[in-house]
Amino acid sequence: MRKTAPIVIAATLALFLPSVCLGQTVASTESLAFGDVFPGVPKTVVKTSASAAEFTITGTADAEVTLDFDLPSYLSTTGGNMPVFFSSTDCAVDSTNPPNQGSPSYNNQNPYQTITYRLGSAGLKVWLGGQIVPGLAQKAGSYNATIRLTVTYTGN
Amino acid sequence: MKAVMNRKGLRLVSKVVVVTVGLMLIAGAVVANDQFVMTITGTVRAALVITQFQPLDWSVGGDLYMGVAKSVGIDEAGTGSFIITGAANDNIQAMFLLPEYLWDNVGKQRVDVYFTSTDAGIDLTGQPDPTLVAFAAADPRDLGTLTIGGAQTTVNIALGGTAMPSAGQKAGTYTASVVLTAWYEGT
Repeated sequence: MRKTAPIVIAATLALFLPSVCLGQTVASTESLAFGDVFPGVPKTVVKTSASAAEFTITGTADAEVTLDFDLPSYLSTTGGNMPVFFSSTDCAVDSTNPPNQGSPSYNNQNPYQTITYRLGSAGLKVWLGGQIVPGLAQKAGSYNATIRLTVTYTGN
Repeated sequence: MKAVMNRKGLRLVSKVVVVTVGLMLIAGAVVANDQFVMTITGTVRAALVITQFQPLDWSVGGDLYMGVAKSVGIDEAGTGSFIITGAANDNIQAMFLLPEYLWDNVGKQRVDVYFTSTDAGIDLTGQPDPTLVAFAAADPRDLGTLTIGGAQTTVNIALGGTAMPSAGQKAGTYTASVVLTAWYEGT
């Protein structure tokens, strides 16, 4: 009894601490790939396509999380830039199991704003499309940029 | 007796503090966020470049005469020709903006010109020298889809036409501009 007393008391105190959750992880299943692009011809990758960015988030089922993107304005190569745009509906989120990219449960989200949603039994899938606009005299070559996705539990 | 109680009490408190701090650390760790950095990629094909190889010139092989129409075909010394370079095997569209008249150097006198539906020539073999190719006749107002050919990544386009000086045409040099625009279909 005496040995268990500290644990009981500590557990009681712990009731006032944030709920203990499993840590969430973010992984990328697919990169956002525009493939070959022609000078002067804008190219769009829609969020429902195989070329869209796909993130897989795992963690505690039914826990609420926020998603925050850090998005680039340009793709770059040595000596050249190319504008990249993301519209206010270029992101989709789905918590169903299995996930449905063609008809996600939380569709047309703005990737420039914080997105709040709950993890499902299989976590979350997040898809992101975008558009690049090469100039008429765009320098030939391979361009790239990075997207950062931050996922945070809200505690709700 | 009091001292024993105090020691026990201190031990209990210290254990509670250790366990509680431990739980707090765990809780702190699991609410930390997670980040992932992903790459966006795209490969830009070579930009289209149009160069004039030689101008369409009705005076090659002899000047124009008043009241005598003169035509230049797509395989003659006076044929105009352009070279378009870009990415091999990609489809492009090209469009001519053709003049209706040649003008003298002060813009007061003019010579009528016209272009028939076979006055353009197209070569998709990738040959970089337009003088060495056999052009296929095409409509200069509808060149259609052109596929950039071969290792030299070129499309050759020729332009002929007919000039019709009037019976009272004033002598002199007459010129006009032909504009050729090309763009990728994007497929």
